[in-house]
Amino acid sequence: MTDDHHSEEAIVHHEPPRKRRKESVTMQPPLTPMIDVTFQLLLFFILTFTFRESEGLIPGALPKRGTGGVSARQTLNKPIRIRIIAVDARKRAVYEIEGVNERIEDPEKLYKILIGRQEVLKSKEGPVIIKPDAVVRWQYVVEVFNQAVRARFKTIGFAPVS
Amino acid sequence: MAKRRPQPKKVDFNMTPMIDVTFQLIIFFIITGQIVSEELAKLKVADPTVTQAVEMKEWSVIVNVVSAAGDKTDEKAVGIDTSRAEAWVVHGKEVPVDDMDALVRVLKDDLKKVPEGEREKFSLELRSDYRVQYADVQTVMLAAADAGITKMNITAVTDPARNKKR
Repeated sequence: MTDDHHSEEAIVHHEPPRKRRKESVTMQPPLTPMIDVTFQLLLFFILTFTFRESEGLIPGALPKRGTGGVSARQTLNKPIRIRIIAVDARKRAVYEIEGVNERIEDPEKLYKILIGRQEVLKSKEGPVIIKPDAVVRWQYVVEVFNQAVRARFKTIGFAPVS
Repeated sequence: MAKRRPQPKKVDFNMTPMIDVTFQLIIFFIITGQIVSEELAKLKVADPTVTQAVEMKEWSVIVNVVSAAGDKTDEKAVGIDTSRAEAWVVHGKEVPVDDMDALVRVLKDDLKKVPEGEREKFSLELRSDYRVQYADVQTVMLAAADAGITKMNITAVTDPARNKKR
């Protein structure tokens, strides 16, 4: 019995004192300068940003001087003349197609009449001659030009202001 | 035996989501922002029904016809005659509206810079305020014709959906 007791004691290990673990150090690059620069960039973009409508171009040709205002491409067809008439002090304008006894306000209607003319003439050559009053807003001139381009007329010109 | 003091805990803000959002905003502004070009004066162009305007890149000179109202809306431009052109702006420089010869000279100089074979492709980009009266814009067309330019494109608002289809 005593022998057993002795043998049990003999098994006990005496571990060496544990080394204290070093606390792990988290490495992090300094973020402050990056955030500073980022905010400066953001501020710059916010201050300089302006919302702008996207712009494009409607293709056309210029009149040759001395040709009576018709586009550079000349044709023998009878021209479709569209007058743009200033109506009132609110800078409104209406359209009048030669041969159509009606004043048109709606650009869609103008487009349909132009398409109708094309079908009658069986040609997209034109020419379409836009004759605006001197005081007509540019907006209306662009509108008519746009509808003529939309109707796929090949020759569109401007008549000079009388 | 002395008590061990608890070590003070370091409290940090979680910066990651903020940086994420900031970067996303910057990317948004970079993508959607347009660099202000000296060529394009501040004005409002026409916005026609079912616009046929498309984005094009070719040899051209941009002539801006600026209204006396600048880029102010009609409501803000009370008392200003918006129908009169105040100036023509070419390459960021103003040309007086009563000096057509000066405009012809500027346009001729531009045309000379274009290689001989490419001159037929050279076009006038007419970028006018939608409120300016036709008589003031017509002068630009006549000046361009005098300078020997044969092509003209009119600037208007585009329909982005239509541009995608093309």
